[in-house]
Amino acid sequence: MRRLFRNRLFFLGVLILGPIFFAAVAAPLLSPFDPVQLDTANKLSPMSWVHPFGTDEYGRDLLARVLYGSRISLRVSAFACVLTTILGVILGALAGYCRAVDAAVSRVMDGLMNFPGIILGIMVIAALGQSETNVILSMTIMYTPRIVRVVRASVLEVKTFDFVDAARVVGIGDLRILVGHILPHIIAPLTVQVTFGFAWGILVESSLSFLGLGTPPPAPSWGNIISNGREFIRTAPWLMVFPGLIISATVMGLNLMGDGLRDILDPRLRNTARRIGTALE
Amino acid sequence: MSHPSQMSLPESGATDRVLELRGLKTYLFTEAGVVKAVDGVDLWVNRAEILGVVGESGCGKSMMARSILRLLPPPGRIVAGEVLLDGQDLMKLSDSQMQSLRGDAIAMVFQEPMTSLDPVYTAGNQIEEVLVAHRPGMSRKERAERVVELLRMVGIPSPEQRVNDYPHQLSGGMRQRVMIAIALACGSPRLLIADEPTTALDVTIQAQILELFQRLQAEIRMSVMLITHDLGVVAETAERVAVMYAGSVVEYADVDTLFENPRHPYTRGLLRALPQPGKDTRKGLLYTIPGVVPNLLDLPRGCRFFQRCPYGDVGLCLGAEPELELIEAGHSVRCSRVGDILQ
Amino acid sequence: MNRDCPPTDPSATGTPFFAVRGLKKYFPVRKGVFSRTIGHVQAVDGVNFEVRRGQTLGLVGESGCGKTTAARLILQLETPDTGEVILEGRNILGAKGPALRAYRRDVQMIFQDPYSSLNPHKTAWQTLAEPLRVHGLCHREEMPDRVAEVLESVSLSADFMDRYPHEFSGGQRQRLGIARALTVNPRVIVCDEPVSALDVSVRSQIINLLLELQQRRNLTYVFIAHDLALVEHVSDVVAVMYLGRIVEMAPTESFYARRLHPYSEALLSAIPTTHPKAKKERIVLQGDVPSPLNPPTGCRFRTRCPLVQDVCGEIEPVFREAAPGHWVACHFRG
Repeated sequence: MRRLFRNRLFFLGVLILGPIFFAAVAAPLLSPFDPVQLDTANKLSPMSWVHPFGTDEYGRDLLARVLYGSRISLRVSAFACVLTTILGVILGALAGYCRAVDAAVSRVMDGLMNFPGIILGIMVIAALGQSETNVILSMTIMYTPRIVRVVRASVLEVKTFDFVDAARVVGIGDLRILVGHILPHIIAPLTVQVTFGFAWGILVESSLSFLGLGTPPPAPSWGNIISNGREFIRTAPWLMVFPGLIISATVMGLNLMGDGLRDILDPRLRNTARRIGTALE
Repeated sequence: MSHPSQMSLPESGATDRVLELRGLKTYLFTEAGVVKAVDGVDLWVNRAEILGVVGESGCGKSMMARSILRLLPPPGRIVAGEVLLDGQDLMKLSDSQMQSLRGDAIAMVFQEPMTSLDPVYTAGNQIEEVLVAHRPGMSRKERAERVVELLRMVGIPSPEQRVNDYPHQLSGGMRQRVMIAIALACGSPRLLIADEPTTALDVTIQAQILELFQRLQAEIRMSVMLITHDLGVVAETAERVAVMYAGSVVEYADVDTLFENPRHPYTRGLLRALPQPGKDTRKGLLYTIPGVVPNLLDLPRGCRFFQRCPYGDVGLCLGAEPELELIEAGHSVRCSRVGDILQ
Repeated sequence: MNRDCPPTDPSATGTPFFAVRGLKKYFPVRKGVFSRTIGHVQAVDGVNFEVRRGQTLGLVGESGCGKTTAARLILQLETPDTGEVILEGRNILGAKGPALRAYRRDVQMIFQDPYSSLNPHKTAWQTLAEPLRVHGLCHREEMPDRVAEVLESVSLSADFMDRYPHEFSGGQRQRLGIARALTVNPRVIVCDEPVSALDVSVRSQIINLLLELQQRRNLTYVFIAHDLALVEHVSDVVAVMYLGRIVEMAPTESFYARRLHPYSEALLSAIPTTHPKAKKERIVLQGDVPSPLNPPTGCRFRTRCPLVQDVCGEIEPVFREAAPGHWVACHFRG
């Protein structure tokens, strides 16, 4: 655990992400404005002391919109991550442990992964309609195959270790083996993958909102703020720049955290003591 | 020629030494501390001789082998000593000079042929690679012929077909033979260092490989440093033996003497712990050496074997580390109590 | 083609304590898009043996002979294609549910690799308490005592309960593995190369532990190894396997006095001894072990056998009792 914070990448990631997270939570405290409050008198005004980020075409304070938007983006992505993890772990573990299940699950997952980029998300929204819940659902469908792949690979690898056989020999049932003996080994790669998934989620939510398929207006989300700001790119560039910067920062922070985690968690499994041991002979 | 420890080594007379180690020290500088993997080793190999180096994990034998070839993994460094190949100090050579010796004058064979051979290249390719590196003058045709000749020399049947096999298509014994062929590619290496070459192989295949070593020793006057933990392998194949423990040589003798009259408590312990044939001792308790190999990060003062030694004497053994002493012609032992330990 | 007569010690009475009859396992080899079966690896092809209570059967052979697969079949880690495993007169192969559970208490295994046979995430306590819990062998309050007891029986201090595997040495890990097997009070233990992965100076400690435990608890062992010298020391009966079959089986003394099968002879002579003065006639076999995908017709050893004749390729030798208690499958020695 201490090593986690000593890792420069992880630490940098936390440094970037921390404030953003805090801002999302403390949004009402940080801005006196209501993100959906119209104030057409002040529309499209640039950065000022009153409006640090400027205002949009309806006079709404951009900073407030970005802050409240971060709540939505982070919330949506977080929920999607949780759902993906639960679904991915269950399917991946079963697929890894039981060959019969594997055949079915892997085919389905491969099929899903074949859809290029965001098309799948768009299809789901088109089918189910536009709402925050459906965005979460479509993100889950899009990312679960990736988690399934990681979990399955881990389970397949650990399954071959003697201690799994030993547990069976001593009378421990399959379910108990899967949960108690095998799953602890997937935590490392899973955590890394989920962290990257979170970043991916932010981007996907923003993309969907940008396309007008995500968070429905007037609720602000980073993506639809950018989308609205498209027309005014020459006259009021801040409308696109600020949300864009925030998205980049968040994604970068998460990616750094993921890289840091990967550095620490993966090689640690190859026990350092053993490496020195073999080097000594 | 008057290096202090030389005095304690068995006299050589007019023998021709292919390899000589003088006071070799190789340490690993790890996060956890300094591991004294090889801590002052003196030994030599004569021409056309098989020297057996026996020891368990942690004794430093593999580190010593890698030090000779200067192929140490990163936390390791040679901190002192000389490695003389036909009198020439390898420690003083440049990297490229060393590289031209590796695979040509000195060759090495490892324990796990599956990981030492590249799985994506055929056997023929890997042997040829050595020729390309060291014999630039050879034409492709000459190289191809040489490869087949080498495979035949190491006893692989149908060599013309095996040339195109990938490592995974070959059995363990064949892969090890390919490793030996790679070692011999450039003609006659003066020294072959074989690090546990048969440990991963079946006993019947092991017999074949050991026989191959002896044949090569006779045919091309190749010297072999045979590193192993198996005393039986050493008894049957080597002419002289060095027993290593926790980074230094503890006993050094010709093979008959070592097995008939071992004087170091560790050697004696190892031999006594082996199951002996015969109905009287069957299912009886074996002799054991108590304790475990010491942690090289935290070596005790004085004799490194003291904690496991049935003859340990607090007064004599804990003070300074004993020196390797010549106790009779051709027989050195590192033990403060060697005089007291008789048959 | 009668190969079903297991040897019986002339002095034995009644049914054998632990026996294996006609054990067979072929692994299909699949290739191609539709996973067509193109052949079978004949890993275990008709293995029969029996062991008396409190005794040790040593199973020797080189890689590919099927001894590990046979062990896995005995422990129900794989299901055999045919065959029986009989404990005290009851065939337990194919058992499910409570019968299987009971079997798992009676028959245990010690694994070869002390590094991969213990779960690195579980402490010694967790590894040992789990079988107790799963089988309901004692009340919760008694568990610490039982665990301490079993640790002591393998000469590990009860203080080690909270340690993780990486905090133990190789020898200690193997002891922990033995302790795990003992928690369920088994009657038969299959030892699969229990000391091959250990340091030489530690091996005799573990062998002694196994011998002592056998004495104290009247355990029956199936001891699998490739080291014939070790097998001779610990076994009452020796069985030699080659390419999925047992080619020779005899009480240890009989085996070491005189080996009948040419493979056993080669195996013994290939082992380097530490008595350098004993210059022996070494039989160095030519070639490699044939693939179990395509074993030779007739006698499987004929491709490497110094005694080979035409009849060896045509007719499979019958496993016969050539001397009292000494069985062998060879045309010229049986």
